[in-house]
Amino acid sequence: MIASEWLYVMDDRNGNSNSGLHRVGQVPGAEISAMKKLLNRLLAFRGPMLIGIALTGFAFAVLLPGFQLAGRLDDTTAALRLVSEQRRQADVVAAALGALRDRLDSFGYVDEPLNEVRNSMAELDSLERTLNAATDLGGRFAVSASRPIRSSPELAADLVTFQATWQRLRLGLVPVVAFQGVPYADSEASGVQLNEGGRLLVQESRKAIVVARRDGAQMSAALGQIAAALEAQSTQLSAFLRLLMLVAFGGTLAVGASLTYYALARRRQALLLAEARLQTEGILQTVKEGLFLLDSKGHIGAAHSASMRRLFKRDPVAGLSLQELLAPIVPDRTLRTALRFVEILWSERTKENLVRSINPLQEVEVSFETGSGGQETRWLEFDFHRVRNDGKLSNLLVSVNDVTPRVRLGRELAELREKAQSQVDTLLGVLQVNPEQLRSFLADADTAMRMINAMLREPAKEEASLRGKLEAIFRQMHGIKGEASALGLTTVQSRAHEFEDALKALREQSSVSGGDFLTLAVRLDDLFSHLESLGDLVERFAQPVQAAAAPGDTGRGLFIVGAPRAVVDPGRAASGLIDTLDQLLQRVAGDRGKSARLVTNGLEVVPEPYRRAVKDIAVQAIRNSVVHGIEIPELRRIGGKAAAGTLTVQFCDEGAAGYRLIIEDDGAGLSLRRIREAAVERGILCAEDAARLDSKQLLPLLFRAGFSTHAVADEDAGRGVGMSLVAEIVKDLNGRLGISSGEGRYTRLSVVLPSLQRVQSVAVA
Amino acid sequence: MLKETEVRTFLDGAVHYFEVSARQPVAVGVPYLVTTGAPPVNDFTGVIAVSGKRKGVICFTAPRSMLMVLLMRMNESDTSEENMRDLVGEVANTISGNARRDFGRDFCISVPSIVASSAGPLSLPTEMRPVVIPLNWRTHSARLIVCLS
Amino acid sequence: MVMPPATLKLMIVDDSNIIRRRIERSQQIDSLDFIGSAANGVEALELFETTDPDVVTMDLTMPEMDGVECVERLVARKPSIRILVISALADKATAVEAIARGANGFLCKPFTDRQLNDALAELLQDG
Repeated sequence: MIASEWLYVMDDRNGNSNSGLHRVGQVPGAEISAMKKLLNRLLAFRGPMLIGIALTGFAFAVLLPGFQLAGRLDDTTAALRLVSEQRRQADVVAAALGALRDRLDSFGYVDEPLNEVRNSMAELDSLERTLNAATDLGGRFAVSASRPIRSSPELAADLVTFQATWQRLRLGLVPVVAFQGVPYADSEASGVQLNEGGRLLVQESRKAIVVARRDGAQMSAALGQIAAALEAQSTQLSAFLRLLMLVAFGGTLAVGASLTYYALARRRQALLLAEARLQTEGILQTVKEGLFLLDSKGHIGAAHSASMRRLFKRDPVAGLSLQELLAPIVPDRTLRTALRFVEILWSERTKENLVRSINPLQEVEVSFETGSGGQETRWLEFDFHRVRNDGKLSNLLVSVNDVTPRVRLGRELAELREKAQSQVDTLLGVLQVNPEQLRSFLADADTAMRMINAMLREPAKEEASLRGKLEAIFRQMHGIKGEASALGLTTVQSRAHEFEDALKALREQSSVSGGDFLTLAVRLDDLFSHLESLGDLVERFAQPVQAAAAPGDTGRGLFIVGAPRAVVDPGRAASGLIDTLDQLLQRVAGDRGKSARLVTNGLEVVPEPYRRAVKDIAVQAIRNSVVHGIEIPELRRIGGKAAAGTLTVQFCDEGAAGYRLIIEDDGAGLSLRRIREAAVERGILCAEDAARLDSKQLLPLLFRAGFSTHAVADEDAGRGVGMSLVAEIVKDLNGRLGISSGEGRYTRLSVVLPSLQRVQSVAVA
Repeated sequence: MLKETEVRTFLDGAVHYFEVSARQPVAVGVPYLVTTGAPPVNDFTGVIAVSGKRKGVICFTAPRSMLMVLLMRMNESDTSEENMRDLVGEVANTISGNARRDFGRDFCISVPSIVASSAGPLSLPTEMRPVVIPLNWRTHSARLIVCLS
Repeated sequence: MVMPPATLKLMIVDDSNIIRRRIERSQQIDSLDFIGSAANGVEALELFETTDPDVVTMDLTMPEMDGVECVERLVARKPSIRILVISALADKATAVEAIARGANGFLCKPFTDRQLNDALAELLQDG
């Protein structure tokens, strides 16, 4: 019984293509299609009854009519034989009458023809009686010649004709056959002569001959009609009977065939059941899935898969309640939800679909104590199925799968990444790097990352501009990666590398949309965090004594942008900054075949909270000056300038007015023509507007994100990001920004940052 | 510390919201970080505080113009300020609530609080770097701000 | 679809005014007769006392009294009441809890008008 129950359950699962049930469906014994199942059920329960009904129907539809038909055919044949036999009586009478006349003429013996007439009359009377009989004399089942005639109006009419002619003939014959004795008188005198009776006989027989000639022929004709009709009827009946026989034959074959099929199906079903039972047992023994039935009292049935013991590390499992099974291995909260859910499953109130959709146990974390006192964590997937017997909910079939590998794979990946983020060998790398160089790198990297973020933020909708972003971001990140590898900062390098990989993957996509960039933003966040922690490290080790940074001082927030994490000696900080700027200047200039020297003034008075901002601004401005301002040596010589350009970075404290940062180069100055051209090219202005605007209106365009007069983007220019980044930093600090230029002579960037007291008072307000 | 799959959960929720409620998809803009200062906000911002498994804030911020059209798309003829505030809160609530599908029940969300841009910049926990995801819908632009520890 | 001929009284509970109005406007079940809405669990119980609704749509995240508790109290007062939970909380444990406490259906926000009507129709189908 259990076996068939399982079979049913599995079949049912096959039919429902719902959640994770296919695994069971692959078991061969369960592959009984719904059709076959239906047929088998039909045969199992209704087969004998159906065959009984078929047989009864057959009897009624074929055998009874056949019996009747056969009876009718007998009757008809009897009648036909009778009529055919008696048809000649008219001739017999005519012949007998002729013989009588001849005998009378020759004084022959008359009794013989007279007796023949009498005989014929008796035969014909008997015929008439037989055919005209109102009832079947011999009973219902005896052969009755009158029955076909009674049942046919045509034959009845023919019979009436026969009767009429026969009665007329009979009337003519009666005086003849009434004669008795000898018709002759023998006397010596006259010899043999007809006596008086003889003379009368002669008269009567002459009359009878006339009558017989007339009515006998008619009677014969009437009997012929009856015979013909009977024959036709007989032929028809025979045909019917043959047909019926054929039907009966077919029917017999069909019943026989279905009986055979039924027997075979029964046998096959028995085989299948036996096989299924074997397989069910086999499945329960071998299936990796945990399978068990919960009864209405919430207990696990005896028929459960062997793997239950392995999955739950319990033996025996049968007889336990679900609560007992789960309580030791899941948190209370999960247990409560599970029991709640099972309650819902038992209440018929909640529909199957709803129940399915809310199964909360699809990934349950379970933990077992291992022998050595440790904990083993696994993840199980539970699937519940209502089992009905005769429409009534009888059990819950529960399948349990160990999905640990799947879950673990996902978590391992995440953990791996997290681990990479907290790798401690960072320290080793950091300690080997000169602190100033490291600070400089961190500042550069920070700037580059801010640029990347600014590029992300820059609105872009078209595919082309999104792809443009990818390219620009790639170059920035590549720069960070290169510097990190040069310094041996493997943790930064690997992050930058992963970032590049993600970026390359995006680049290879056939189409990119904004959402695809999420992975970059998240990785950028990770890099920011990582560089911040590196910054913490470097400050802690570079300045062990003075490390008095406020713990919450993370370098972000409204008024503490750029704040380093420790109090740094201003002189050292300045020299680090100057080195960084000079390195940058030399590298960018070298890359472009230009030559330049750096002159700084007042950088040691940059207050701590502005140090990073000053550096970020200076880095961008220097890049910009070298790329756009300072000419190649040949050009400079033609212009009467020194071959090497000069870049001046000045910082001064103007008291209540705040701080002023001036970055100036002695290059070509800004070209309004090129700004106009670029503005038109980039669709920011139309040609007429561009021509109309003056320098005051044109110059602010330089601080607009995405604006660059450089046609091709490379590592240092062309993305139109650098100056917009400057503008943004200044804006964040509530500072002011100005740019001025003398064509062929200089470009001067001037930044005013508010005094720190003012900033703080704003913050307090 | 942002995790991509987690942020994506919220983003998917937002995309789904527009698909179902506005019957018109949003174009997701390029996400970026807020590295300095307060995140950019529009006229109204629905803020959901997250506690439990993760801590932080989920915001949906949108301009009046967009909220008005959204309300109209939802057959709501009353486009009063009251209803606009209601809507940003509902969107933020739906996006956060849907995230429980992935975060589970220990991801607790507050009832929404609504902040108008006129009340000043949004102050978010300073130790986190929020990610801003622009949501462009028709000609309007809203933002989803995810700020999680 | 054959609906019960008698009209059933519908109460809408959601802290969002626009959601309340939307459900009221969008539901097109002939046998449902909207009788009022409430913005939280406490209001819902008060409205229940005066109007005796047969069908309720119930938000879960609400101030004052949340939806799960409200479901339980409504079912305790009127076991035949039919409650469709309409919530943004998409985790299964929440759905299980709401249904275990007596809710009859669960619809996740955001929803289309059609989803709403299908859910309501299903809610009433075997009632």
